[in-house]
Amino acid sequence: MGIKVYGSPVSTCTARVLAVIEELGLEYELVPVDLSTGEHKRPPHIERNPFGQIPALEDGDLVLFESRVITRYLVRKYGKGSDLLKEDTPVEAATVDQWIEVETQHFNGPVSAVVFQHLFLPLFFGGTTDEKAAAAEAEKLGKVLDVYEVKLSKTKYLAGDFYSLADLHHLSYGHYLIAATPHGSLIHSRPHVKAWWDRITSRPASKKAAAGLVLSI
Amino acid sequence: MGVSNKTPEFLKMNPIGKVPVLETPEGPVFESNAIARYVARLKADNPLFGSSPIEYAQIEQWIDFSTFEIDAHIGRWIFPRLGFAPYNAQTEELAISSLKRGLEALSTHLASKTYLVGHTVTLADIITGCNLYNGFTRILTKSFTSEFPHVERYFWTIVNQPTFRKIIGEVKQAESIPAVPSSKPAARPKETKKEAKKEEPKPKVEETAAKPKEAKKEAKKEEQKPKVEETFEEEEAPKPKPKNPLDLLPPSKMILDEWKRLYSNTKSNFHEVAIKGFWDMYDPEGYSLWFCDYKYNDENTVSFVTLNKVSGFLQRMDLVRKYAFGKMLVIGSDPPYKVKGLWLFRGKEVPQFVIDECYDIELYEWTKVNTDDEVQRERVNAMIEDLEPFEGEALLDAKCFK
Repeated sequence: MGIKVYGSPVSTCTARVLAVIEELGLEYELVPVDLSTGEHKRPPHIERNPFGQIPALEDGDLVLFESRVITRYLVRKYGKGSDLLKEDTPVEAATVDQWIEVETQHFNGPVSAVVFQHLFLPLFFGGTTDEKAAAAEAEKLGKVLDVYEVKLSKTKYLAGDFYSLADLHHLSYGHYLIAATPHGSLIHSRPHVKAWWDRITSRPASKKAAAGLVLSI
Repeated sequence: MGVSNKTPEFLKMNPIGKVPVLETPEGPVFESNAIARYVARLKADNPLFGSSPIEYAQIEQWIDFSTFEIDAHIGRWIFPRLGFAPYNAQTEELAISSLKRGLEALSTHLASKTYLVGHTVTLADIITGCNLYNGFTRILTKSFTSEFPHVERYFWTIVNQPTFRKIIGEVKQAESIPAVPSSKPAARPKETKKEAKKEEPKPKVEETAAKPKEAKKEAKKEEQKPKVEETFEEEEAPKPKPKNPLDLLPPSKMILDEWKRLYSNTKSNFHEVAIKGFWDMYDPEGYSLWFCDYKYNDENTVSFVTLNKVSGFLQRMDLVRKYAFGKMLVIGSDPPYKVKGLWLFRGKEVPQFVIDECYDIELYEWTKVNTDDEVQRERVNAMIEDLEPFEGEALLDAKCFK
């Protein structure tokens, strides 16, 4: 009985799911999956996620993978009446979908590359940061955030004046960008982006999810 | 065991007559932790002692911790049950609670770490892993260790390391606790061909110089094999099973399942059929009715969060499902929403094990229903039926526990 999240509190994609769980006030159990021993590439986890990644969700008989799908499922099932997806109004729902897609297609690529270069590569793979590659990705990220800066000067949040999954999906990589790389200024130097970032990270649910993101060099 | 380790020759090597003992050209070494350190030092520049003075200190810290706070208590719990020490229930209780305290502390440390010190296996992990192996395979069942998920994850990580697997092979967690032996004296080791196995040569220095990790585990493995074989020869004392106090109540004419069926299957004329049926079968001697009122309704500002919190409460009440029926109402058309419930419990009180295990209980005010009071009976009916408006307000939702 109850929701099980298979993953790790230090993982960005797991934290994305935990942030929604906290927003919805749900009971859950976090079942650790140890990447350092390849647990995610072996049964039983590979049966939950054939791509061998975390997180995976178990809710009764349902098993789901892909964090951005798990978040939507949880909102649909347990968040009736919430603004996180706005499914009752097609136009607003489309706007939320659009900015969810922006995070996936435009923000995620460069931000995860920067965090990989400055944090995961040295921490887990004993590698050295490729400063040139990291700088190039940071520049790309800057251009994306320029678009955010314009949008956020018009609305308080990405999809409108309401907090939605589109904003929430940014929390975990944004956290590591600021806490574990020298490129936090990408957020802090853009006033509307910074104000939005402060707004979304000060939510109690966001703080709870970010509390697990403790990786550092 | 009990034979060759008590001979004068053996006692010269270890005056306390225990295994393991390492024979070296320079003399014997006993105490498994000391053997481990000696063997580890034989290979210069290995990572088992960490890469800095502070790491070394932490390794020693965790070796001491797992020796005193984990291994000692596991031993105190297991050995009486294997007949190697007198059994005493109070001593065992103390050993278990001390072990839990140690495991909790270990779990806290491991919440964000894969290994005890640094980012690789060190001597601390080898020793702690072996100490936990002893516990996991002999007496710590899954239901015990599931309270310490980080320790579980750590344990399986360590024993699945290739070097560990080579020595200890596949690890199976204990499925039950060994029974308390009957009052006959502890079994004397039998003079069978088991003796031959126990005479296996203890690890010699030449072998271990090349494989520092493995010697320690070979020694430990040897220690354990003979003991496990002996347990099976003993009489199995019947295991005491704790009975639920509610099962010991005098029988009641009310059968909870009959009420649950009546509630679920009555599709029409609910009041005439189900409500009337309820009061016909209700037994105030064998059961009791309770109103509960959430104490912190001002927190209930978001509808779906309130509903999810009530669902969480009902999930945690799963342990009383055989003995209870409940309705939880979320009331109001605007926040803050009020959460009120009705509960039917076997027995005349809210069961103690529910109060002990379910922390939500103390978040509610509980009032026993006076079933002679017509007003209170009507309120019970209204809550069973999901009557709207309830006390003048709309219902956001009504959840049933059955």
